Amino acid sequence: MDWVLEASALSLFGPMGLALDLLLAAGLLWLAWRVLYSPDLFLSVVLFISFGLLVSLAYLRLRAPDVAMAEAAIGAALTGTLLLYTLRHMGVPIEPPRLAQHRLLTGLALLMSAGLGWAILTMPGFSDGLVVQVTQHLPQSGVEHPVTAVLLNFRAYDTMLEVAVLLLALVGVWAVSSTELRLPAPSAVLRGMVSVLLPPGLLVGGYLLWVGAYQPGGAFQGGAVLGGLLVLLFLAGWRALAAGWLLRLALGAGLLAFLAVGVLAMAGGSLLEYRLEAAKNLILFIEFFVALSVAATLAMLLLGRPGSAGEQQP
Amino acid sequence: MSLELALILLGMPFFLAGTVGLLRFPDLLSREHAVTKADNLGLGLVVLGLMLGAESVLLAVKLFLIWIAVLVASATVAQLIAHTVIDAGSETGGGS
Repeated sequence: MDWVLEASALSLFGPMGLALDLLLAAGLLWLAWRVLYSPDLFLSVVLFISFGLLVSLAYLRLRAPDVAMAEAAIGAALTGTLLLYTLRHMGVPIEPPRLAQHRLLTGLALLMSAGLGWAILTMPGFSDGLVVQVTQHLPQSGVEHPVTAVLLNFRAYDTMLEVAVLLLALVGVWAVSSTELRLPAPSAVLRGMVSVLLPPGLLVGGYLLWVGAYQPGGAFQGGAVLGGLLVLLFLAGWRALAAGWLLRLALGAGLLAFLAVGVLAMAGGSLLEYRLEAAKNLILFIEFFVALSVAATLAMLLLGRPGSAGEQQP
Repeated sequence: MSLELALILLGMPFFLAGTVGLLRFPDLLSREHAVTKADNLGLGLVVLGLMLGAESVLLAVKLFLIWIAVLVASATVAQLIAHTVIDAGSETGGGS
């Protein structure tokens, strides 16, 4: 399949590829160990971010660029930033677990690894899974990329619930932490970089969203890029973006669009069952708003509930 | 030996020097100075070499854009880190 990867530099095979893979695997194990055992929590978080970037490289090597993009944006960048933010608020150093606890946890982890290893080793060597079915029905999905077809047509119900979960997660975070992120005054250098990066960033985010119909990409990847841009904009001082009903609309837009299309489809069939001739446009419509929601949600997870900074003043 | 390979090989020592500098230099600002050389010049030479060997003009342009993106990001982050260090230093009344 030609959608897998076009850049020849990444499809390294043969001994060089193997050497790179082994280096990557060893690096992952080493970093994972360092993340868990470094005495300094700050160092742990920084190493965790590097770990996320290496994991994303590993996904690229496994020819899953969709997952690689999501891992780099969400696993490494966003989670890393959230961890750093949490660290700054903790103040109290965490006590290391006692030896007995330690042994128990190590035992449990080993048991888990053994179980996982057994499960993998007893798997059938090669299985088509649902690949045949997806390929067969791809022409009926309205898009040409199998991942997008599964996410937004064949299993659209799951994706709709996923979007709902994302929204619920943000509501949960806002309910628990009532503080808005307090940022230092933005430097001119940062503002300059953001104004340079904004136009190409918007282009890349929009392109990823659009290209999802026939190549790796789609609402979540495009949304993650746009979310990163939003975070940069906040850091550079454009706080007004995070206020008012426009933001709340953006947060809910994905789920609303999904629900609206799903319910409209019920007129001629059942929930989320698009007619073939309309499928591509409907999918793009949903993806546009889901990308908007993903971007807003990811950014607001970091920024906290807007307008709540005043409430915290004694 | 082609020009392509020569450029890539020429770029690699900058990464080595940058990494050694990052590990061995005494204070944060000189460490940063060392490591940004790898990003700017080292990556630039490697990208230039890769561009010569690229299969299409489009791929070459993409590689060039990657270098520009890294330049913008690393220059900005280096400035931000340096500013933070200087601000923290002036608060405690001394350098690092």
